[in-house]
Amino acid sequence: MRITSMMMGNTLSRSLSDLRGRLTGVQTDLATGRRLHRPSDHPAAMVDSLRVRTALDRLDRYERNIGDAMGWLGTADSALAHLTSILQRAGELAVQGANGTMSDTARVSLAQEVDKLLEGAVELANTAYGESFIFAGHRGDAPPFSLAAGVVAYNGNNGTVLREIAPSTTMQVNVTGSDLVAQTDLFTILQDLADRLRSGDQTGISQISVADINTAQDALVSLRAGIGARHQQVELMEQNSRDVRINLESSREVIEGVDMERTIIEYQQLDAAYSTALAVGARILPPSLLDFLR
Amino acid sequence: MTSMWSGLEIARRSLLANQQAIDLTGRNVANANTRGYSRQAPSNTALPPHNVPLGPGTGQIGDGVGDVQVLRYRDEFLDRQYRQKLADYGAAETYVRVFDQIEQVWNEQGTAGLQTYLLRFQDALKGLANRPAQPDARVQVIEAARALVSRAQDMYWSMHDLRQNLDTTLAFKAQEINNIASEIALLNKQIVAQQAAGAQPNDLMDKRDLLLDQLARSAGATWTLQPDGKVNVYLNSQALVMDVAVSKIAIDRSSGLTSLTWANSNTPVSFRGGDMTALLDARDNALPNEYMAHLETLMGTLTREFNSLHASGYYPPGPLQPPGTNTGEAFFSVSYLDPPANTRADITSLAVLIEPGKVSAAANPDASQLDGGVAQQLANSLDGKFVTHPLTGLQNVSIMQFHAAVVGSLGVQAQRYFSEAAAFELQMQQADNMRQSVSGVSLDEEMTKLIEFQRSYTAAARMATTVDEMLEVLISRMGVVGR
Repeated sequence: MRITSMMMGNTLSRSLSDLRGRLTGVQTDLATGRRLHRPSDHPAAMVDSLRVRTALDRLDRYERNIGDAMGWLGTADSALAHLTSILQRAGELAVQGANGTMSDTARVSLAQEVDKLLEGAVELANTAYGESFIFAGHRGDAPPFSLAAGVVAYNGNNGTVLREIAPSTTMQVNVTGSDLVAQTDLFTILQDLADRLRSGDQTGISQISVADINTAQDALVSLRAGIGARHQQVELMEQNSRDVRINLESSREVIEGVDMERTIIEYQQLDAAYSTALAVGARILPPSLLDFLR
Repeated sequence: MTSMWSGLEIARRSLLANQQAIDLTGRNVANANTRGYSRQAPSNTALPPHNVPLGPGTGQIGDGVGDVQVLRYRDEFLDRQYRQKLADYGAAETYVRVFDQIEQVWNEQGTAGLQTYLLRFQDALKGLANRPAQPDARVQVIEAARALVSRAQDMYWSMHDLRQNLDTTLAFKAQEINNIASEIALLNKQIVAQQAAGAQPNDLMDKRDLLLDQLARSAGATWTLQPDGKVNVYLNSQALVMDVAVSKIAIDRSSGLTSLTWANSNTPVSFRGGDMTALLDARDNALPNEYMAHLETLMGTLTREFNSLHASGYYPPGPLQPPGTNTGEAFFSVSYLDPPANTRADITSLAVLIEPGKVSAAANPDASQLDGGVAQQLANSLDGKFVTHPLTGLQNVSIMQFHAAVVGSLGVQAQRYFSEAAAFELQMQQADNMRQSVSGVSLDEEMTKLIEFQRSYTAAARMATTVDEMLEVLISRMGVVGR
């Protein structure tokens, strides 16, 4: 094959520009620390990267929702704890009031304390978290329980408040007012106790109120147990989401990141090839027969 | 016997021939780096011998060198190979430029892409589901929806502009093809005329070959060489140049997009290989039927499902609003390109016109403060498996999955064109090297020849001197015997 100087020049400039192109690519990878810049770089990795980014993006939402869920459940739990201690105090007052030696005046003052307990219980049942009353179902914008003339009315509804805490896993984070009074109506129980204390109905107190208060306490305990179980599940999900985040971050790194050692070696190889091509070109191109003719 | 003068004549012819050869060498050296130049070399033949009828040595005696013929080094077979590769490369290279831009439109790396906006929209809806009554949550949903729509419109207009640019290039290149065809027809005429006059129109042929290269690259043109030296040029077997006549391409841009027809028969021009093939395919197929249509399908499915779900929800009624009239209104204002199926949205007219207060988050008519049932369903609808896309063969995939599939297949397609272009470029350069190996000027070779011709010239001059000396002897020394 005849080789002309133009062919040699073309070959050299082609291989130089090819090497330059590859060097630029490797340089970009190294400078950005990422090997994915456009879909055609690695189409399959690109799709994986989209998937992982979606999962990571949603994880943020799940983590925020988990925090929110914990807030709701924690608020409900402490409100219920306070309600339990109110019932406990009411139980003590009932036992005192059932005592036959107590004077009517003393009972009335007990009754007044029970009235205060009832007011406290209604206040607790109107506990708010953020801008919402948590025992109101969906009607979180208004206090769900109102006390008028010793009668407690529920103005909330049975709406469930849900938080998405993991892919297609939602958790109910509220306890509705109906749940609160479903098994035993603690407000009526307290009101009945106050009435009985005022009327001196010792039998009623010792036989009905004391037992009712116990049942109401049990009901609260089982409600709290339910909340505790949910709280535990949310905590588990929080840990789980932390693990998932670590996994996702590391697979994102694998998918999008640059393998530094390999890329640096590749860069050095290319750099060496480029310098060699330049040096060889500088030696091969100039000489021609002209240099040797006199 | 031959006369003494014939020796001088031989020397004269030799001097002339070598001088011409040196001129040719000079021309080759001058054009060593000229694109499309084919090296030329003298082809010398000895003059036909003449018979010597009498005396000893009867037979034929040679008569020196004949008229110098100039040879043009060119291999038609290599030209064909090179132009074939050039047509392949032209198409692949145009695809590379087109897909480079489509990739930028659909790219998710570096900048926020469509998926980012879809996710933000979904997240805003989930935020609304958590706090359905909060005005800021409602505003965020609207803003995220507007951002999504405007991103989709940006993508659409980028692809639309790309398509318009391709169309302009198409018209421009068609005009260029017409011009080149006219030039080739003119060259055909000149070449035949020169040949008839006995001249060798090598430079005209070089010029014509360069034009044929250009046509191969831009339009995948093929050609046949006629016995009289003319070439006929064809575009996908349709004659573009016949002898000295050109069949023009009519370029009509009146309907918005360029239409190319043969001016004489009014039938559409088709191309096989070359830039034009890729330009036409990208303009008429890859953009409108694939990547623009994908976007239309994506937004069409999203808005259709979203609006119908949104209509099933309730927004908080105003104080004077009659009960039951607070059902969801259209969230996206959208028109569809394919009613009644309504799978493809008209991206250009897509808009979010709803007011924040009328975002339907609630599943119950009283739309109380914590009722975000529909907002959550709306968020989930972006993961609903609604998309069925006959073109890609995808069935019942979610909007996000469809988007990922589009980006993935775009990557595969672009990668194919990129590696194809690289392969064709290499093949084209190899074919060009083969051609250069025949037609290219080698300076070493020219210098060697220069020495040869110079030496021959010197030798011929010496020959003339020798004959002259012989004549000198004959003229001034003979006949003086016994003087």
